Amino acid sequence: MNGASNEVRVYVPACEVREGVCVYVRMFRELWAARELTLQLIGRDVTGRYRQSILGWLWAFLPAIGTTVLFTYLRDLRVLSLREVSIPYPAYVLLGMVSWQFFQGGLTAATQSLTAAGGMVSKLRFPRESLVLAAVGVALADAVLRTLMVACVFAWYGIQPEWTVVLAPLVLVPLVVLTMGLGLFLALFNALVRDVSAALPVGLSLFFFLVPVLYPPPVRWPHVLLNDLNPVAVIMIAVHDVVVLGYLTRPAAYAAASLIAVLVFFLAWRLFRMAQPFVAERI
Amino acid sequence: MDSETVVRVEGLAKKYCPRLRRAMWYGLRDLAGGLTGRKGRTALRAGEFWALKDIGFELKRGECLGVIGANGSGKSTLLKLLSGILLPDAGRIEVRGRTGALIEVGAGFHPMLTGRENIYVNGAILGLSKREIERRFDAIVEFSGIGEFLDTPVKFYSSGMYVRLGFAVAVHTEPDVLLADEVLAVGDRDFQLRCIAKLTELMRAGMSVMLVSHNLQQLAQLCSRALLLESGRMVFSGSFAESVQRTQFAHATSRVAHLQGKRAGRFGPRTYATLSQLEIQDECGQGCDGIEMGKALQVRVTLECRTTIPNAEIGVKIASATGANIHLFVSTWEGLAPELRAGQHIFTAYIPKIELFPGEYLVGAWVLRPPESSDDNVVGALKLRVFPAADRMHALAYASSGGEVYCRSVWTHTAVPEGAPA
Repeated sequence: MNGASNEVRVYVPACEVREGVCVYVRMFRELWAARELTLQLIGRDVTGRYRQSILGWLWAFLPAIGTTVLFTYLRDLRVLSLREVSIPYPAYVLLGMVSWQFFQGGLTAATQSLTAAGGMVSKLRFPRESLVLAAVGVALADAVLRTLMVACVFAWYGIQPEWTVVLAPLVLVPLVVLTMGLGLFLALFNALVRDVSAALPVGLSLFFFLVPVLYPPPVRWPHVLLNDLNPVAVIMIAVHDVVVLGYLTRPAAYAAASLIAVLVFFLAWRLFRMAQPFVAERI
Repeated sequence: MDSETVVRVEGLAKKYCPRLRRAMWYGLRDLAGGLTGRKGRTALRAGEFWALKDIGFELKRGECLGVIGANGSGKSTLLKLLSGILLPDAGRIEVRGRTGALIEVGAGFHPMLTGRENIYVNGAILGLSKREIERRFDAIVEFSGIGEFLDTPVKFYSSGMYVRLGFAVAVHTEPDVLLADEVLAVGDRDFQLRCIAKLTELMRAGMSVMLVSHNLQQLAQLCSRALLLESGRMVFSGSFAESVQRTQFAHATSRVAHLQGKRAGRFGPRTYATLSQLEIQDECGQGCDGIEMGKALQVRVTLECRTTIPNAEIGVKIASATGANIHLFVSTWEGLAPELRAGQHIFTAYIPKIELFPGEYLVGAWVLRPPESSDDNVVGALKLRVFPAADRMHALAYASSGGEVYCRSVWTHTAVPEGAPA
């Protein structure tokens, strides 16, 4: 009937399956085969999300605008004493928010992707990573939209970005990889124990203050180290650097963060794969 | 596995833990065990049970296998294992080619998206590329009968439309093996007939089907073989007719049915009357386990009355092997509605001519006080065999084509001369 017609699939207990590192080759091949599914799922969520709302796509911008307005106000009141930042403060916050909101939104959606799909996971067979990756993909689509907003604000303030701004999407890649990795990991554990999705918003709202979105990157010693160990902060700063400065302020930390992101992704992906049957059973 | 076999299952077992917290804990431990490469144990842990055990069968190309069993006997679990959603705890499953699982129709539909958009998304989930979906799009829409609602969000669909669209996408993925769980039960009569026709057509083209259903009449139209599951064990695997016999006649006895303490196939509150015995007799009143087609039959119903009932109704029913009622014999229809006093009573229904085709049938009985519903009602307690009769040999030829009862008809024939108006 079709090309795969004579391929025989064998299902045996999980403990009898033995695979080496070459399993990644198979995983990549299957993921590649599921690319259309992932794109369809992204399209489904992107188009379906705001259909029954009046403000629609504005919801992609409102949280960032609200945060920016609030903190600009607090700063003008001198409630917050912040060092001067490289560009006008609202533009600085909005730029940082693009990276941060991608991470926050992507991780939250990815974590809930398996449980939200519910019946699909327990009643259909398809590569479940697609759900997680699609959730991150939707957050990425939002990030693209927010970039347009940032461009408008930059134009308003008359800020001329460096030519390296064209590298910004490339610089953001490790953050995408990291979000996918953490997303796979948390989605899996959230499917087994729901504590994860309960704890995540709390964790993320605290973590927000550890990432220099509202304030300039730290310059004094123990703080710098802490900042360098935080891959999200490092990548976010790198994005800011290529847009505003034209060079990376902390290239070594950026390289380390990228490496961490890739490692997290591959470990989480493998774990996710191994745990899939347990997840389908207990979703 | 030879090329004509599409599914082979050997020694399959799956365990489940019905307690949520314990299941969560076992899940984490299994996962940790899987990571460290520790050999999993096959034995049951506290609180677990075998949802399936020692299941083995084969499915050939173009064949339809029915899966029959009570609720909770493991039918859906079996289909989930075959489609690869769950992994077995023991045993081995081999599946050749693409499987299409219809365990929940429309799983993966996004309520906000229109039918059109959902066809693409659902097709992708079921493993079709965009080009493949485009090629089948018109056929899917046509089959689903969604028509003008194609561009309406599916959350406004009626449940029947929802299921029709889901089924349409799934069958058009052209799987080599279709696993369908109770999907024919939904949708209207017209759609069910179209589904059966479509499945028959695909089976002729080489698709194999495993069909879970409680509707034996429907299964009978598609299945040649069946599996019988009973609390996770395979109690029978073989011809469909024989498995129907086994399920339907599991609680039926020949000749006499003693109903004291009987619970299977019985309902009603039994507040004032209890059926105690059901017996088949020939026309002379001799107990027998069957009669010749066209002969007289008597059914004797014995019941215990607890209080006085002013006008009782006693009924006897004969049902086919697949459970469809064929004859109802009711005392009140024939003008008998006696007052019953406390104590034992015997009723006999005399049927002058039984015109059922040769085969096996189920006999049940009820007692009630009109216009209430039955106080005691027994279904399929007694097996009635109908033997072929020398003067009714024509019935043998037609019994297998779906008819159940013979009814005499008078025929005339006129040859119309050429050129004359009919």
